[in-house]
Parts: sequence; structure tokens; C-alpha cells
Amino acid sequence: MAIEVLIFYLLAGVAIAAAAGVVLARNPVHSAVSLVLSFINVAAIYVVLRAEFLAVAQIIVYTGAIIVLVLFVLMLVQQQDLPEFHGGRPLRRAVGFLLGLALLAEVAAAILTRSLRGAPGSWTPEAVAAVGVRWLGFELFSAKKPIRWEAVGCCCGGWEEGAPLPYESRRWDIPSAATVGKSGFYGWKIQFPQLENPVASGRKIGTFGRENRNAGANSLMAGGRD
Amino acid sequence: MDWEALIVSYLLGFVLLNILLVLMAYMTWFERRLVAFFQDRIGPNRTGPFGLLQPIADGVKLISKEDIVPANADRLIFLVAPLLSFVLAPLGALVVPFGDSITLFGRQIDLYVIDINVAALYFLAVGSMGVYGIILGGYASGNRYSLLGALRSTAQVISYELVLGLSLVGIFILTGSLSLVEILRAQQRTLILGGLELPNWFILSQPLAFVLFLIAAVAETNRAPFDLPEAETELIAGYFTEYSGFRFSFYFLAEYINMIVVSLIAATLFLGGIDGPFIDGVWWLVAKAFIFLFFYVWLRATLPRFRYDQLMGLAWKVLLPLALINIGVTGLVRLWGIGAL
Repeated sequence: MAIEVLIFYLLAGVAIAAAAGVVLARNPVHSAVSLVLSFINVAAIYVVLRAEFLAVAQIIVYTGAIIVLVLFVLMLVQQQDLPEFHGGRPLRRAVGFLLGLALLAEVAAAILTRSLRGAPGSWTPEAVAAVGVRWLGFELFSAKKPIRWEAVGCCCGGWEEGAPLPYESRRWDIPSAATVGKSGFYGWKIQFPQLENPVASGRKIGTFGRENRNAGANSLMAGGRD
Repeated sequence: MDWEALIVSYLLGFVLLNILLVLMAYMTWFERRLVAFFQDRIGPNRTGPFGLLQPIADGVKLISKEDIVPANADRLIFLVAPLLSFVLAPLGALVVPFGDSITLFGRQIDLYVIDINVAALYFLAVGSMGVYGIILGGYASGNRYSLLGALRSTAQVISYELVLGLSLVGIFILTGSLSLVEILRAQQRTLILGGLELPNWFILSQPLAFVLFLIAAVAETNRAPFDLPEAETELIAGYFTEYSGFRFSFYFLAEYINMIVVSLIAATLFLGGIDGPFIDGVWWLVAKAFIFLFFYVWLRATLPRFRYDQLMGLAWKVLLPLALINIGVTGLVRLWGIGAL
């Protein structure tokens, strides 16, 4: 048991240090890499607790998909155009500091008012390992819940389907306020807020390369509105 | 804790990784010779008999070259990214079963490094991590071509990983398990089709999934015709343009190790792994993996590179719907009790 506790402290220590790195790093790419490190260590803690499925799901979903997308976006924007994350206006700094303190107080209150260990249930690591991923599948897809899972699956599928489309520099046909206001969906009068057109208003648009303002990058950054 | 089993696992893993490294070196020789024959050339044949010492000469050359870090680079990430690629590449092979258990020194030893109950997902997870080496390497080089290669690689891997994962779901439905050992056991049964007695390999019951897996696996390993991240005609060399010496060789090694690992996994999942006529054993697995490796080289020597929009269109408009249809049909077949195990 002792060696598992030791491994846990090692993993947890690295995870916390990496999480601190996410906030402290000045380069957003370094932040993302720190986040990956943190996620991997949390996944390793799941493995120590014999929850392999959770660990693998964590790696596939968070490090394999979400952070990859984060890095993808970070590469599309010009690093010099990013706002300054550290410093800034004094009011903003003060509010950020206070909000951070409030969050810390909340977490501290939640931890200190309860025992950290929680109530021991019937599931030991050995019991979890014995039933494995098979039981998890049966439980998730048993007769009671499949509709919900299908719904979630459809949503996720939609997101994944839509994710690479802007990169193909397709134009999204977002209904403008004029057309929707006339017909309306299901008889409802919906007024979309009229977004200002960044190209027409002459606002500076972030482009992929400074001297390379091609149409694809423009439509992407402007949300594809004509 | 069973210390002996742990030590045996570590030893097996160590041996496996070393075998992979040697195989990888000779994979480069095999590819160069084979592509040369495809193109009516001779290929490397001067260093040693049949050019067999060529990989070693290449290794010495790469290690002795200067290790250059561009002034524009993000230094730390630039130095770490190739190592990341290289370290993650062989991890997928740890779950491949290489044989049944044998008894050695009065102790039963299973001929696989580890049997985790989510082995197939573990393979996918390691594959999805492997892309970080490419993304970070391309970003950290501080070079537009490298960055473009990395961007392409990101979009490509995210798209094809989905197909890769979904193509395996049919197998999971048929076996009811994610463990490669269980999947292998399911394939060692006999499939009776009319008067024919066939091995229950999943290439027979899941042919569509096999084709999808094959295409997605080639795309995942960034090999021709899906080698857009390193398209030399447009991007010089893509994400590793700025790398030299042994850091470049790490990317090179990772690519070949990835190919070998994917071939081993494909042979285990679809071609019955160690199962074969006469005596089951690791030689069948090697022979089947070799077919896949030959296929990789064959593709490279034959097909031109995809255009970017063709690549994305293929993944999202063709492969993904086919994979979903395959899952639906397999699920219905399983529900109606045909092919139940």
C-alpha cells in the first residue's frame, strides 16, 4: 500500500505543479502544454485507483481532442496580437485577485468542513477492477438510459462534424437579422443582434500571417459573416 | 503486490522495445530497397551484404551531425517535441499479445506485456497523444512551413482518429470486450459458413471495418498518400524542416515505429494475430504484420498525395458515415442473434 501512496503523491505533486504552470506561463502554448501534463498525471492517478476506462477516456477526450483543438486555435492566431494576460489595468487586476480569493475560500470551506476521505463505500479498487469496463458498458447502456446517451452522442457528433468546417474556409450561412425577422422560426419573431461587420468597419482583424491576409483567414476570424 | 509478475512484465516490455528498435532500423532499409525496385532502381546495396549495414551507417551519420536550434525557436519545446514523438510511438505495442502463456522455471508466464481491459482504447489514446510531438515541433520551430505542417497534421489526426476508433466498435460489439487478449481468443474459434470452416478472423465478419481501419491507420501515421504534414513539394519538409541530426532522427524513428505498431495491432485485431494453420505462434503475427508493412511501402510507391480538401472530404463525408453504418448493421446483427458468440 505504501508504494501506491508514494506514487499517488508523486503524480498529484506533478499535476498540481503543472496546473500552476497553466496559470503562470506567459506563453499560451506553454500553458496548454502544462495542461496536457496535468491531465496525464490525473489520468495516471485514475490508473492507480484501477479505473482504467476513466483514465483512457480522459486521455482520448481531453488531451487527445480538446487540447489539440486549443493548440490548433493558438496556432491560427498571431501570437503578438494576443492581449496581455499578465498585468493590465489595475481595476481588472484587483477584480481578478478578489475573484480568485473568493474561489479559494469556497474550495477551502468545502474541504475544511468535511472529512477529506469521504464515507467508505462498497467499491474498493479491487472490486472496480474485477467488474471492469464491461459492467460500465451494461450500466450506461441499460434499458433506462439509452435515449439520453443517444442525445448526447448526437450533440457531440454535431460538434465534431462542425469543428473542421471553418478551416476549410467554408462560409456559414448564418441567417441574418433581416431574413429571420421577416419569417421567424415556428412563428416566433426572433431578432438576432446586428453584429458589426469587421471588414466593413475597418477594424483590425487577426490574420494567419501578417502580410498574408487571404480570404480564408478573414472569413474564419470574422465568423464567416458577409 | 506480485513483484515477480511485475518484473517479468518489465523485462518483456524491455525486450519488446529493443526488438522494435532493431525492426525499425531494418524497416527503413526494407522500404528503400522496395521503393527502389518499384521504381526500377537498385537501392542501397553498398554497405554490407545487400546493403544490410546501411541503417547503421545512417544512424552514425545522423548522430554525428550538428544539432541546430533556430534563433526564432521556442527553445524548450523545440528540444522536447521530438523526444515526445519518439517515446510515445512504441507504447502501443505493449498491449499486443505475442503468444499463449508458457511455463518457465515453474512459473506461468503470459507472452504479453500487459492485458488491460481497455487495451484497444489504450492504443487509440497513445495514438492521439503521439500527435503532440508533431504539433509542438512544428510550432516551436518558428518557421511558417513547419507551422503549416503542424496545422495540417492536427486537423488530419483529429479527423482520422475518429474513423479509427469507430471502425473498431464493430469488433467490440461482436466480442463484448475491449481487451486484445479477449479479441484474440474470440478469433481463435471457427466460423462455419455453409460447408466451409473458416477461422473466425474479423476481416471476414467485419470487412468494411477492416478497410476503414486500414485507411485511417495510414492517415494516423502520416504516411503516403496522407503525408500532407511533410509534403516536401509544398512545405519543404513540414513540421521537421528545422530539425537536424539526432533530433530529426527521432521523428524519423517515431514514424517507422508507429508503422510497425499499427501493423501489429491491425494483424491482431483483424487477421487473428498469432492464430494460424499448423502451430499458433508469434511467427504468424510477424508474417501478418509484414503484409501490412509491405502494403505501406506499396502505397507510398504507387499513390500520389491527396490534396487537403480531398483529405478532409474523404474522412468526414465518406469514411465517417460508412463507419457509423457499419456499427449500426453490426449492432442489429448482434441483436438478432446472428453471429452471436
